[in-house]
Amino acid sequence: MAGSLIKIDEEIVTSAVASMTITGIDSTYDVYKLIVTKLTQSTSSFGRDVYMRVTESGTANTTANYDYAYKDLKADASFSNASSTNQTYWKIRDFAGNGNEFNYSFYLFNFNNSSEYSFMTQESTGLISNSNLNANQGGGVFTSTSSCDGINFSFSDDDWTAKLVLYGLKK
Amino acid sequence: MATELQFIKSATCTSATSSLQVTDCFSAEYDVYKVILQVDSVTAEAGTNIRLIDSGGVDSTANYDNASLYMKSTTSFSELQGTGETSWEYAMYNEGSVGGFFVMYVYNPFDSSSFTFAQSQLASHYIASSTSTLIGRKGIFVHKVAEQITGIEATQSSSRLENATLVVYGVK
Repeated sequence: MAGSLIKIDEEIVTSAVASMTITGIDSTYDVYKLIVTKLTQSTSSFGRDVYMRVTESGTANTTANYDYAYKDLKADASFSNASSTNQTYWKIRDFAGNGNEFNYSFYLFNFNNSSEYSFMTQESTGLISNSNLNANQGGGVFTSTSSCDGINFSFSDDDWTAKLVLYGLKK
Repeated sequence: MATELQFIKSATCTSATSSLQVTDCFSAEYDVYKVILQVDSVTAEAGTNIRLIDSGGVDSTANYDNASLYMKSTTSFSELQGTGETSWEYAMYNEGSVGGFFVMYVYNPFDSSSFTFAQSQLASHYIASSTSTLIGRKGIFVHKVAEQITGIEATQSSSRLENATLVVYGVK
C-alpha cells in the first residue's frame, strides 16, 4: 500500500557509547522525521547532558552555529524554559540521571538544502532520576547554510544506548 | 512503495458514552504507535482522560503521571501536572459539536520491561464564560508499571462522548 512515511535508516545501539550517528538525509525529501526510543543511561551518573548536532558527510559539525529553545515540562515541579544562541550543539536534555529513559520525536527541515538553514522541532517524554516525568518541547536552528546529511547525539559519558529510526516524508 | 505508518485498529461511537476503547492494538510488532482521537461532538462540556488496557482490562490504578502546557486563545496559558493519578487526565477537552483532535505518540506499550510513555498535542474548542475559546495542549505522560499494555481507552466521568473515533497506527 502506498504511503508517505518512508523508512530511511535505523541504528540500534546496544553497547554503551558516548556518541551515536544516523545519516541518510538527501535531496529526496524536504522533511525528515527522526524517532529515538529508549535513550537510556546505563550507569548511575547524574547531571549529564545530551547534545544533538547536524552531520555533514557523516561527521558532526561542532561550529558555534546552533540556536535552541525549549520548554521543560515536569510532573512534579513548575515548568521551566531554556534557550541559547551560537552554541556548538543543540542541548536536548540536561541533568539526566541514572536509570532514566527518554523517547523523542524530531522533525528535521531543509537539512540537505545548502542555501537555507537547517531546522528541527523536538517533542519528548521520559523520566529523570528514575522517577520523575520530565521532558522538553521545543526546537532549534543550525544557522549555517550547509548541506547536512544526518544527526549526531553525544553525551557526557560513554554509557548510553538507544534505537534511532529516520524516515522521509514523501511529497 | 510500502509506508511505515500502518493502520492497526479503530473504534467509533455515535451515541453518548463514557468509554471508547481500542483493544488488542499494541503488540510486539511495533515499539512506537500513533494514536488519533477525533471528537466531533459531546453532549456537554467534557474532559476526556486516557487509560491503558492490560491483561486484566482497563488499568485504573494510581500509576499515571502527566505534565501539560495548556494554551488558550483568550487568556493566559497554564500548567497542569499530576502524579499517581488513575488516568492521564484531560488528554482531550471539548464542548459542543464543532470538533477537536489530539495526536498522541505512545512508546513501548507492549514491552513488559519498560514503562509506557506518551506525548501528545491537541487542538480543540470550548466556551469560556460565553467566549469561544481555542485550546491547545502539549503533554507528556508515563504509566509507571512495567507490563504489557494491549489497548487504550478514552474515558469520561460522565457519558458525554457522543460522536468520536479513536484510531491506532503502528510506526514501523
